[in-house]
Amino acid sequence: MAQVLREIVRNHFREKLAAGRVVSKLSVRIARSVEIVHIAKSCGFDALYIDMQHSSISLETASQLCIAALGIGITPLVRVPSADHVSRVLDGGALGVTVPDIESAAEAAKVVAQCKFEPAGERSTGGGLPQLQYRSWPQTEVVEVMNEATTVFVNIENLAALEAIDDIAAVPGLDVLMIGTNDLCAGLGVPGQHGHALVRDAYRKIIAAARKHGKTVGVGGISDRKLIAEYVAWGGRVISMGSDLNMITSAGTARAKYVKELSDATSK
Amino acid sequence: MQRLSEIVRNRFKETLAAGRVASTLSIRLPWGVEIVLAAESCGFDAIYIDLQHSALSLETASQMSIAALALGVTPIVRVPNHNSETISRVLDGGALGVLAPHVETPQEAQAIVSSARFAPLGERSTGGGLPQLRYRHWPQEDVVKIMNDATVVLVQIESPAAVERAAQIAEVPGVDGFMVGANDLCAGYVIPGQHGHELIRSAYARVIAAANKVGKWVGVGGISDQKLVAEYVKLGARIVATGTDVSMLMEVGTERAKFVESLNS
Repeated sequence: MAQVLREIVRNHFREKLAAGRVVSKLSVRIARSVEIVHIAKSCGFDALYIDMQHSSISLETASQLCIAALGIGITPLVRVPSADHVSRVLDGGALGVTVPDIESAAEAAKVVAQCKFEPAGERSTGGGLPQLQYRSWPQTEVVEVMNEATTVFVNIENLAALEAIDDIAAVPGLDVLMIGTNDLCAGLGVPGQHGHALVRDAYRKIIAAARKHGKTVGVGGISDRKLIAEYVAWGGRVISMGSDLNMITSAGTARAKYVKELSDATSK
Repeated sequence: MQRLSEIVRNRFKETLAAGRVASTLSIRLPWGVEIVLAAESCGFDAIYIDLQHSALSLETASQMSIAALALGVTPIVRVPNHNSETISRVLDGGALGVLAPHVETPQEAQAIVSSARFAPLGERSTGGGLPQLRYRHWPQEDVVKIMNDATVVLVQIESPAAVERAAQIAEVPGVDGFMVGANDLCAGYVIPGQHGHELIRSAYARVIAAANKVGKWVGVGGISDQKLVAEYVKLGARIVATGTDVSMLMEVGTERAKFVESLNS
């Protein structure tokens, strides 16, 4: 039975990571409707990262996007604005959450507790989960399969977390240490300098702690491809490739610029 | 006190009137108004809010139009049909222009102009309280003059029959220009997707000559080959529709996801 349930609750992002591969995710910040899910899937992203920390996306919209993502096999992850939102987001269909600004192992352990059902955690059982297509299953199997399929991230993006990284990485049930490079740079006093020696040292330290405790490291907020490749070579495995918003502005700026150049050349 | 002509500006029209090439971005996804800020920051002259090929509602089109008015990027709505009701509600919602698909005769073009312009140039109904005027009250004769002047009427030439009649359609007063829908035109000539085919080149040449002769603008739509776009601009086209929000997401997203996948090899 649990095997049947496992076929329904697939987390492709997690499976690909387990196979040792590098995975990509796209942040959703301004899209409001399920088209973005199909677009992300067609582009080839492994996960959709619905950003409720830095957007005005509602829980309701986040849930609709998650459910659409479950339907076509791109993993729905949600960045919550704080740990208080974890359980409703997971009830809404997410297969993973990330909590920003974690500072200690205790905070990380609290996130795990909110993501996992007993005995691994304290997630409240509401019944009727979209991840199970609202089917009824024996609760022991639901717990086993959902705990397995739910990916728990914490964002490592401040000096306190960096200091406590070994303890945080040791928290059982935690899957990914997602490095928020921009906030980390700000904390280290080198804003925007993603390749600065201090930032490299931080990456080395985080990757070493993760490796020691069998955790995965994510690279977030970096657009420099060479630097991403370097951090992947060191051991980074989850790559944030920007948001819907900056995809639009990146392509749009290039296209509008092309027409302006055409205009300049023509009206000479 | 601010003058009405300062409040109701149409950047798209001003760019074209200055002899420059104007760029547009087509919107097909039900974004919030964020997309309008992004389009403005990208540098587009106008947004084409596409009600023909999308599930966007009139309500959403109006919200985007009003956001665009405030920023100065010109909101133009591609309407799904030529109905007077559709055109007038879209303009009442804040658009500074309509783009009507599949126009094949001067009579059709005339009817569209009539729905889009206030008397004496047309029969657009006066609802009062226009977002283009920030809902302020002005003497109606000023409103009529300014709004008729600021509203752009574009019609799509996208069938062999329309190309045949381009000269007559261009002569219809109140039509500002043509968008040549390359994809439908290719389909009409039974050469699907061949944007650079001789038949399409000669269709563009013919439509551009007919339009420019009477001071009307021509736009290039549906072509991603930039060399071909440049060629049609050289012939005299002045509006370039650069594609849709969907195509931009797909283009950048596919490239980014591929990059990550390449780290696996």
